[in-house]
This record gives sequence, structure tokens and C-alpha cells, in this order.
Amino acid sequence: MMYWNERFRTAGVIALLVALAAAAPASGATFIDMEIPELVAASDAVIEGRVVDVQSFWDEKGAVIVSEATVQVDDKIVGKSEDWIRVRTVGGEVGGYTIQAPGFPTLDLDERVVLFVQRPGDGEEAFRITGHPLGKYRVVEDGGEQIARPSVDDGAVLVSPRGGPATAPRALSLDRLKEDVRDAASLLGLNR
Amino acid sequence: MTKKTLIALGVLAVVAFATTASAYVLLSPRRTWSSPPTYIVDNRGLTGVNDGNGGETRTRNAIVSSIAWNGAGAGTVINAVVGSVSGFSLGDGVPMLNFRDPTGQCGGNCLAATFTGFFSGGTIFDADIVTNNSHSWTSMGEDPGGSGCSGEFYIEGVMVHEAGHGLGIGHTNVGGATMFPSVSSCNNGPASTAADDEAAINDLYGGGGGGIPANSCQGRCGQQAPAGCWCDFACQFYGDCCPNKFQQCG
Repeated sequence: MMYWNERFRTAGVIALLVALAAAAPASGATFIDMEIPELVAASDAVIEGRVVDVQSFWDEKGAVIVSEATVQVDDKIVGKSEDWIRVRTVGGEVGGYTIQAPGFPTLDLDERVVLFVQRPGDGEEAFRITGHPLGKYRVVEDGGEQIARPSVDDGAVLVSPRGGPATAPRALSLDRLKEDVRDAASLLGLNR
Repeated sequence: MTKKTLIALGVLAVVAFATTASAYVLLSPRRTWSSPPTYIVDNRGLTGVNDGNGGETRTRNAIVSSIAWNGAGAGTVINAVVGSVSGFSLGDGVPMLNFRDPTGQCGGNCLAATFTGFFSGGTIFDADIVTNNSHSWTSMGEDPGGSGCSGEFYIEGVMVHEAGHGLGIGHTNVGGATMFPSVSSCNNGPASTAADDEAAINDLYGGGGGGIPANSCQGRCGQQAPAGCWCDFACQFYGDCCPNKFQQCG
């Protein structure tokens, strides 16, 4: 039987280690994996920017709450885009009622992001994110370096297009992500 | 390094392993149905599933099966019937499993998605599931042994997984569990819940819908739970923490 001071000290160390154990993210959707070249090929533009506004509302059919973010574009990595774009995501809160679509990307105020986007279709006004969570990276500062973290961390189920489980994309430096995107566009022969 | 420290580190390793061995995660914020929901499973079936009715009966049966959520030890937590999903809406309080995607949100590389709706207070008001039927699907009725399966997804396994989200469960890091965040084609394994999935359902629904399980730390932080496990600071050292101690009490 350990004395109380040792019990608390040890328990404190235990608590610290347990707290460091990463919890699996919550999720609710299943997606087929897409790698950078596929995302680039399916996108009209890839941009780096900052979310400056978010509004949520019931969509035109009244079937789902969506959110539209205004993104200030700081870098047009490939493709053409305006200096400000609106991007629609699913989920949000209206009048005290919240719809969540775990696994789908969300855009939060002041968030810095890299987005693979598709232009609005007929009757639409906002861009969509290519590949759902695969088309969004969060840009964070880590040890003085700009790191692009994939949104798939937020808990989507991934499956390989060949049928087996897929390996989720990993965080990488922002510069490396941009380089990979531009290289993919070049290899695809896209006039970006 | 002293002997006591070495022993303590050994205990830490055991505790850490035990902690991650059962690692279900609940959706945040924590939320439950106040009574078992009755899902309406789309009576149009899935195109391409050749089991007599497009997988609708197989899907319904899988959701309510005793090898899935209703057999997890918490009683009946979910019901399902085959019926019309016209008037599908995420905010109408009628949970539906739609073999199409009227939301228009699950296109492209999305296979299936669950949308939950709730007000503050932790009660699920609605939870609907949509499907991207442009992908390749099969069922145990069409291909029970998997020999004819090629790159297709078993509708039963995917929908039992999505129903888990509809009940308030997130992903786990326990391989083989229904709520594990990785799926393979031609594999219906997720249709059967594992111990980790059952622990999640019992955490949420306890004895049959809304009750606090005897092994839960909900409202019991700092105390011993009725089941005999503990919800206090020291349980990490003694290895007798209740399954949801860290989620409830930190």
C-alpha cells in the first residue's frame, strides 16, 4: 500500500499520460479516398485563405442546414478564383437547432485553410469543397513552421478506391502541400 | 531510477494499454434519444443490389438484429421498418434511412452519411442517413459468401455503422469494431457489433433506453459506481476505473 503522497504523485503522472492518449475523433460519413492528383484534377481551383465570415441557414429545399463561409483568398495555388469566395458546407445551427454531419468539413471563423474547390453549378452561388474532408487542410503554426493538417483527422471513414482500408493523409508543411499541388497540376497538363 | 519508479512506470504502461484497448468515443456533444428511434428504411431499395428487394429488408433486419445494437446488453435501442421516405427532412423528428441522397451533400467520393439534429440539452431530435447509390453495393442476400463480390460494399455493415452514429456513437480505435473508422469492400464484418461497440451503447443507453448504466461515471465523479468500478482520481492507479471515467470525469 503506497503512502498518500506517493499515490497522488504517481496518479498525477498517470493522469498526464492518459490525457496524452489521443481520442479517436467522432465521425459519421464514409468516403472513398482521393489523393492530391485526383483532388487537383477534380477541382477548379486550390486556394489558401482565411475564413472571415460564416452564416448558417436552411438550404433552398429546406432539407438541411448548411453553412456558407466567406474566404479571403491569400494565395491562388492553382486555378483561377476571385479574391473572396463563398464556400458551402453542410451542418450548422439555426434558431437553437443544430445539425451535425460528422466527418464532413466545416469552416470556422478566423480559420486558415487550404481548400480544393469546385465552382458553383447551375443555380448555385457558392463553391463546394472537392472530396469533402479530403479537400480541406487547416493551416496552423507549429514550432515556427506553417503546417497543413488534413481535415480527415476530424473522423471520416476512408476506403481505398481499390477496396481495402485507406491510409488517411498526414500533416505536412504548407510549402510542401503547395508544391505537391502545383506538381500535380503540371503533371496533369493543366494550364494553371 | 528507483524501484518504486520502475514499478510505477510498469503500472502506467498497463493502465495506458487498458485505456486504449477499449476506446469508443461518443459524438460531441454527448447526446441520446429519449426513447428508441424507429428508422424508416427506404422501400425503394438500392439499385444494383439483387436480393429480391434492393437490400431494404436486409438493411432493416441488420439494424435491429441481435448481433448489432439491440443485442449489446442495453435492451432495444433502435427499431426499423421498411417504408416510404418521401418528405425526407433532417428536422422533422422522423429518422430515415434513404437509399438516395436528397440533401445533395453525399456526392462524389461519399458513400454514406449520417446527419444528426439536436437542440441543446443532449437529446437527439432527428438522425437521418443518406446513401450515394452511384457506388457499387451488395448485400448478404445477394452474395452471402462474398465469392461474387468485386469492389462492392455490403449495405448491412455500412448501415449498422451509420446507425451507430445515429445513436450518438463516434469512432473507435479498436480494430474489428463496428465503429472502427475504416471499411473494406466485400466485408460485412461491421454488421456485428464488438465488445467496444457494446460498451459505447451501454454508456449511452444503459438498461434499455435513457438510464444510467451501473458501470457509468455519469453523475458519479469521485465516487464508486453501482457496478463496483470507480470514478475517482486514484482508479487509474488501481486499474479499476469505469469504462467512461475519463470521458465523464477527465
